[in-house]
Amino acid sequence: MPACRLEAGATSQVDSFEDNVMTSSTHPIEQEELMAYLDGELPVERAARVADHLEQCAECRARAAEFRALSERLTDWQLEPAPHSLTERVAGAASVVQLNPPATAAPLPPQPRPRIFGLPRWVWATAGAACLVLLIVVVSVPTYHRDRDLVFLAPGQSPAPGQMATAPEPAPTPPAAESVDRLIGKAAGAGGGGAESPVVTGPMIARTASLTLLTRDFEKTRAGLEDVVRRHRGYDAQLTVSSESGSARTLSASFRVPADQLDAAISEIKQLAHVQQESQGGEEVTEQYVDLTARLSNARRTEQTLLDLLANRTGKLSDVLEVEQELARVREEIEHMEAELKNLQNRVSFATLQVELHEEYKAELEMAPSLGRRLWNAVVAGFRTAADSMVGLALFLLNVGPLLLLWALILFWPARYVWRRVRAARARK
Amino acid sequence: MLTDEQLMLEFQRGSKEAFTELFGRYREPIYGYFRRRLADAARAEELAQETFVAVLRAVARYEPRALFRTYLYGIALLQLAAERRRTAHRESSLEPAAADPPAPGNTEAEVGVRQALGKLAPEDREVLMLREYEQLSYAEIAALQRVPINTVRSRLFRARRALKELLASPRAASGG
Repeated sequence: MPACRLEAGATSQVDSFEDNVMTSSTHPIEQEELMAYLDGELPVERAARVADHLEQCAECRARAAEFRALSERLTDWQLEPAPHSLTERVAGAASVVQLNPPATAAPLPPQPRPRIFGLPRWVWATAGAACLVLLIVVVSVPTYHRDRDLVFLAPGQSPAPGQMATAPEPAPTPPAAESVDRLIGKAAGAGGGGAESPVVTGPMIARTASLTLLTRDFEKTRAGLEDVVRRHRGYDAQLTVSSESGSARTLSASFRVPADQLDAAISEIKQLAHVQQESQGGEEVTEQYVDLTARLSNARRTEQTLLDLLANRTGKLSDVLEVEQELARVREEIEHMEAELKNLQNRVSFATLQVELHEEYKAELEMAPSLGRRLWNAVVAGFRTAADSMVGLALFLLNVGPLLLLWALILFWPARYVWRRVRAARARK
Repeated sequence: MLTDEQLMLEFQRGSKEAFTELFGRYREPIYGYFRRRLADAARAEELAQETFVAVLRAVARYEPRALFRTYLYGIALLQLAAERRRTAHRESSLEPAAADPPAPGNTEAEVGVRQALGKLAPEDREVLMLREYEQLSYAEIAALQRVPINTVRSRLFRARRALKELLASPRAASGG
């Protein structure tokens, strides 16, 4: 039997190492391998060789016996059996455990969601909602912002040659005193009596009238209007026609008709179309007129005085120049006043008639709008309502949103904490 | 007889008896695992319970990828590690059960074994105990400890050698 060169009584690490290493020539088995053999952990062939060797090597058999004895020793440490409470508690836990239904022991793979034409359903839902919103917006926005196309016509009709009653010019009165200033002062003082215009027989009234008409036949009514005005020896001062895209036209005109013809003209016009609104007024301008004429005559007297001064007194050149300057100023004043007077007279003699002519809106033309028209109106109204409600919702969200957000943030973490506790408590049961 | 894995699958399909059988097989080993490594018997029982409850909770997800035994002891090891972390700042000694005063039931031999075990290096001791008491194979121990099998083997050899000497030292060293 080959001797196993094993050191005896080795305790140190180094000795243990030497103990383990055996020269291959004398001993093919290492102690660790022997241990593994005893544990049943060697591959089959190796185990067979170790078994063979063991039959022959007493030392190794002794070593093996030591290993076994050690394992025996370790079994001295015996434990009491597991307490019954353990079994009970585990059994209790087992009775409430949720088991999968037999058919689905493994989690099912997520079902492919039903798809429509290759796109998931949510895509279609979102697209549909977006289209609807777009439709509402497109239909409703134009009714919110209607551009009014203005069509200006040339205020073209030349005033019909109405005969204008003109007031005769007041006759200049003869001048009085010596120096320019004294003259003017005197002339102003002497002014006052103004029985100049023979037209002022009673109170002077500048008459105005206003009519709002509604017609179905726009052109015909307009022609009628102009005809009436012409026949009554009036003229139009201003004419505007505006037309909203599509349908209703509006005519806005300012006519002048002789004051005594005004009533006749109005009554004729009222026959042309449906009168929505009518008003008349008069402004009394007597005082203005009288005042104006007085001032005018004063100014004329002053003018004459100055002219006489120039003609009669040939003083220094500077004096002459001064007079001429004054004369120019007075003449300018005279012209202004004359123009104002004419205007006043004109207003009195010619009344101003404002006419507004509306074309009947197509929806109102037929007393009973057609079914189609009513349906369309309903559609438009419906879309507008929808658009309004959307706007309302958006406003509401904008109003309430920040507040909700604030409180959601404040309450988020406490809520999450509580939720987790609840969930954990539930899971433990 | 069904394997552990088959029993788990049966339990997954709804058979409570399968779990009862499985529990019967591992009740003592798992309890012993904790009992030998913790000083407190009540705590050992609780952890054993927790181990089985963890298996119950995870039954829906169970897949027989490895041995059930490895799976079960893996859970137990995690429980033990967590327990040790919890008690680390409370107790200075980590020696399992060796610090227990001899209880009435303990024989002198048992006390000697426990004391000797207590003196081993921790990883050597653990490998030895898993081998001798839990009866795990080298491969299972390697999987649990996440070390190569050769490391398991050498640690085991070292542990056995050291233990032999510790147990032999009260007596005069015998000649070889």
